[in-house]
Amino acid sequence: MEASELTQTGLNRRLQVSGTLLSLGLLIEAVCLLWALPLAFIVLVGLGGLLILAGIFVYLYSLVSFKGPERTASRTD
Amino acid sequence: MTHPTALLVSLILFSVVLIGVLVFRLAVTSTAGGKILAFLVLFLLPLLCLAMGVNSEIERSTSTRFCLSCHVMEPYGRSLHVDDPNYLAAAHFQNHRVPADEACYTCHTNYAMFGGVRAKLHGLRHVYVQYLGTVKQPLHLYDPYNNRECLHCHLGARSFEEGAFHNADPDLLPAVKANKISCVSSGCHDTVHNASQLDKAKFWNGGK
Repeated sequence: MEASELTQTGLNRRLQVSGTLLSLGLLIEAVCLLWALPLAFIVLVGLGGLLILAGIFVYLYSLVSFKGPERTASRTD
Repeated sequence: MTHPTALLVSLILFSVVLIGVLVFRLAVTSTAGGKILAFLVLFLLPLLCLAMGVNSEIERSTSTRFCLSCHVMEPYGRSLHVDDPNYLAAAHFQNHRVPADEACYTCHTNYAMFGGVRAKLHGLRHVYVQYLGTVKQPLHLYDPYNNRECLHCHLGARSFEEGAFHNADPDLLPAVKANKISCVSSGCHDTVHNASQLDKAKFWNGGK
């Protein structure tokens, strides 16, 4: 029970990190779309794109590394 | 801001709001529906927004306004408004022989398979030089201008095939079509931008 609680907490933390990275990346992208200069493309891909991809990676990694609560088999005869 | 850009920005802001809701109410992800929502909000939507944003920026980079936004391009932008039909770029731009909002890209991208890709890579280099390097004056094309870019539109056109000057010498047209004689550097259509001599030029529409 305790181990699964910690794991759930760890998952929640990673989801929060992922959400933060994604939000930052998306906001940078929105600013770049409103900013009509050649540098906007570089910032969009170099900064915004990297943050978004990092956020997606953290999310997918959290899915793969999450250990769900252990199921205790109960048998009734 | 154009309509598609406004829609995309709205989608991005909507995604940010959804992410915020999910991050502050993580208990939602304990149910199957919540997990699906998390997958949509933390994977599919951001990926979609990123792809659409990059595509939008790439499309924007083909616009005349984008090319002329760098200071070093200012004389070339002015040359599009010269009131002289001998100025090749001006004659094409003012008479909409090339799309006015993609004038630079239309002529300066070659029509071979990876022409667009090469143009984009050159563009990245231009951004680097503009902000981190030194612009070498006068500006030069990377390669001699290939007649293929002119013939993309002019080949088969009556004025080109039956023009008096083009047919004065029977060997001329075949040599032009074979790219053996250049359209723009053989003494015929050599006045293209002439950016260094615009002080003496007259402008159409006040040069705007």
